[in-house]
Amino acid sequence: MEYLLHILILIGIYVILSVSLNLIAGHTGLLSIAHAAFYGVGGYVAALMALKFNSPFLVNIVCAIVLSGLLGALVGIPSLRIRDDYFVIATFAFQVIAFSVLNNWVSFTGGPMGLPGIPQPTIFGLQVSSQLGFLVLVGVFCALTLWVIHRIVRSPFGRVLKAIREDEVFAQAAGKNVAAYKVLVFVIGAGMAAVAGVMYAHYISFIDPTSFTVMESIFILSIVIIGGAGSLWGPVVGAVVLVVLPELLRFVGLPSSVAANVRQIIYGGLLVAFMMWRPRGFLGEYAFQGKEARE
Amino acid sequence: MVAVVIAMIVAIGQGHDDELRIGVVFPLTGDAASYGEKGREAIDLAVSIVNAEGGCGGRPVRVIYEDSRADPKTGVSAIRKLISADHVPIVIGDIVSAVTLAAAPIAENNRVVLLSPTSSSPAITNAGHYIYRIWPSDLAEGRAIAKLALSRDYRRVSIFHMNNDYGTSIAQVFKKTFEAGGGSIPVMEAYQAEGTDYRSFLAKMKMDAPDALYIAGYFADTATIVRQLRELGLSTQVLGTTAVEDDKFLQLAGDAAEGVIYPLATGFDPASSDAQVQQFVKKFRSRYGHEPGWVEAQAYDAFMLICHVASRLDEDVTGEALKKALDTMGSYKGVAGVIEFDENGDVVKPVVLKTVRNGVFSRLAGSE
Amino acid sequence: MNQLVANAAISAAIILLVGVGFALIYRVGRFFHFAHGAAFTAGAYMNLVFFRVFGLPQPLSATLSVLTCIALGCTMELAVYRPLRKRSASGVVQLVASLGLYILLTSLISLAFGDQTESVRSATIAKGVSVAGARLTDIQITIIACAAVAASMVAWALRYTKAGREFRAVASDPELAAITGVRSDRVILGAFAVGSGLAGIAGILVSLDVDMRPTMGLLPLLSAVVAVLVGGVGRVLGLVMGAILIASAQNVGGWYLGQQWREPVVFVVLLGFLFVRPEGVMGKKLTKATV
Repeated sequence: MEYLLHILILIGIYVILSVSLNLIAGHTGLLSIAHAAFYGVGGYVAALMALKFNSPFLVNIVCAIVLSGLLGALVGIPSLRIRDDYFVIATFAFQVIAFSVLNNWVSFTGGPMGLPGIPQPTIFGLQVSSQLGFLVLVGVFCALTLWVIHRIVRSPFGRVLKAIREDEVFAQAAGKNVAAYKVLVFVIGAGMAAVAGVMYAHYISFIDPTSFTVMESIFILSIVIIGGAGSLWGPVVGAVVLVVLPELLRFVGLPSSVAANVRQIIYGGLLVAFMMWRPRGFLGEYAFQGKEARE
Repeated sequence: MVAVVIAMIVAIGQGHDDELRIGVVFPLTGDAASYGEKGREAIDLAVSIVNAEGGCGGRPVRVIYEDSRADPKTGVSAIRKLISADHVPIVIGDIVSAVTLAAAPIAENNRVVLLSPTSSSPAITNAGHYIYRIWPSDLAEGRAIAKLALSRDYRRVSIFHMNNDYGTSIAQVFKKTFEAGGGSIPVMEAYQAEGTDYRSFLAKMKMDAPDALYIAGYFADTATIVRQLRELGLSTQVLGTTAVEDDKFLQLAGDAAEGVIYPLATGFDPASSDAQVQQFVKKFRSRYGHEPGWVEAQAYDAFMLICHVASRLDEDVTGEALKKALDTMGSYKGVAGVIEFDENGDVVKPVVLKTVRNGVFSRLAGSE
Repeated sequence: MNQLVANAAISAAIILLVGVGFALIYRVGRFFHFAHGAAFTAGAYMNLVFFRVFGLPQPLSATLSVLTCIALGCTMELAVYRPLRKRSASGVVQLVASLGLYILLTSLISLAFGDQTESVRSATIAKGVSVAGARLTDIQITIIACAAVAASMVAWALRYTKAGREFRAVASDPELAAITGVRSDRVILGAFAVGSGLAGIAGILVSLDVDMRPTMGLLPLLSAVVAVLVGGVGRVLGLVMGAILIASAQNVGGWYLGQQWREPVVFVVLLGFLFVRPEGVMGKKLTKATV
């Protein structure tokens, strides 16, 4: 039972991550490989605050969102000058630098030794200590994230995002401040990823930089792509599939040494296969095609 | 997919009462996979020996392996699966400290014993009441090699350590001990686990001409570093870690392995005349066709220790019962030395200084 | 200090060998072929198979391995990228597919050989020869020589051969090239063959220098990508300058900041370039957005 709860909690964390990346990549069309960096910053801010100042959970979460959001703006700014695959590489660069800072700034982040003993969160005097409690907590934030994204996408703001994705020049010509929209989308997405990081840090109670690598970013992106970019529920489906799949492999009787590689092979193969035959993913409405290519 | 989910639920429900289930969380893939595989070989051997003799105190043993990939999150998934789906009262693992630390609170909360054969991080000492290890903390190894450097009158030793929990924490212990003894560290730098180009560090180190270079990492990277050191024409004395003692190190480092001095923080000595050790080495060799090393010995001891205390239990083997038995067992003699836990679930073992002489791991002369 | 220069030269040579192929594929295929790193790794491991398992002599084993890499590169183009191109998939879609291919191929290598370090080197340590105060081993000199020869040959071929002219035609305007009878599919396949072969050579040489692991391809690939972007995708000379710049940044950065900063330094340089001069040192100006 506890194991099933654990998987549900992990799914919840990845739903927050992928839904927020979907806002950036799926709704606005800015493919980013920096999401694990925001996730990590959130986790580290919460962990450091909880460990050093013993500050309340809700304060930690706000600080994590703010700091990660600022970093999001920093990553969003290059999108004004650089586009498409060049932009992907720029986010990649940001991800590598962020990981190195977490890993090498030993006196502050604990470096590769990580931060053990992160306390369980207390909200309004209520300590979340059981797994069920965590599931409820993650579920609440998950629902909140989905609701906010839903509202954003349906609003005039969301329609501008879609316009930027479909035809940036047109959006610009229509008098929209494309630059501000792009940066804002990164701020929102990064802030939400930070929430997932906070959940992760408090739940696992130990974090180290290896959870926030380039490969993790690619994994989150794969959830969005396989689930379906640009749709509300696509990333949710993606998160369920990609989190449950490796866990199922624990039960099919493969030797464990083979299982991890098989998992990677399936996951790499899925990415290729979806790009070839179904670039929209399971439920998506956006297939990462530029304007000219669709004509 | 549906079929597998059903299989999963069925798996959660079943279990034999008379059987002793032992969970094992090892890195079977990823960066530390070679250690995990060694540990698995040893435990497989131990299981076959014990079950052929009727099990642990009459209980047949079943071992369930889970892969941690040396990654904390995967390790947490693995131990949760073992505890809630397989209902194990005891988990052996992990090899690497980061996973042991991440898994510790889960074992603690579920009152399941977590016994690590090789985790060395000093943080594990205070990781919980249900957390045991049969490997001494990094403190012992780092201090021993620093003291050796001091005793040889090395005044200046440069440090090059792997940028992971093991390399970083052991390098810090070395630095502290060595500086406290009056030595100085001209250069101390970290290297990334996946890197292979250490030449610029070596060139930089060469300018200071230290008395020795302490490389704190695993065997593969240490091998590449000593090779590059010798290729640059430097004959600096190299100090290494316990991880160096691996046949693969000799193969990868080639002639450059010669003369590397390292501490062995486990009491395992395959050349020992002790009957228990000889029997282990013989059985291992006949089953796998190669020699066991310290990882194998530690994993074997971890399993046999659990079997030893479990066989003395009259009641059901639960986590609580095992913990009580471990706390009160006194001392147990394994193939890698005597195990006796202190109040933190740590062990103290004598550190042996060794070196590579004529392509063979040998005791360092004058360190007996 | 001389050693620092020598170290930078070795890094630059590896980056150049990987980068030339990556740039060739990028210019005509117009997407980032990340699975190029897998061709690099495959070269090293195929050499392990031919040399160690089949016991072939090293030159023959290396040749067969390079041929395997060429076949691998062409297979990727034919099986994945060409169908995607036929569907007018965007560069981003092809990039994601190439990431998938990279993960797929390196996992296959890891499944077959395990994650531990493997070696084809002999036990004897080849002490480096002294060159102007720095020490270089035979294999390191070979790496530098191979890179120099490969880069010059590619530059020469692009300028003076028929294939080179066709390549440049496709690179500058595929539609116009098609009208004049150049078959862009063939040119792209050629770029994959040459590029993957060079990556294979680089992988073999690196494994002879510092052994091999399934993940060995990622860092050289990333450095090469950065060198290509910084040098500008247009010309081989720009790439050479990019490779030297990146290798120097790695080695000088590592020297002053510590080894753990070697990789991030590369990406800081990249971000600087993307901000200040997105077209690279020698490239042409990028269009901001096309209408």
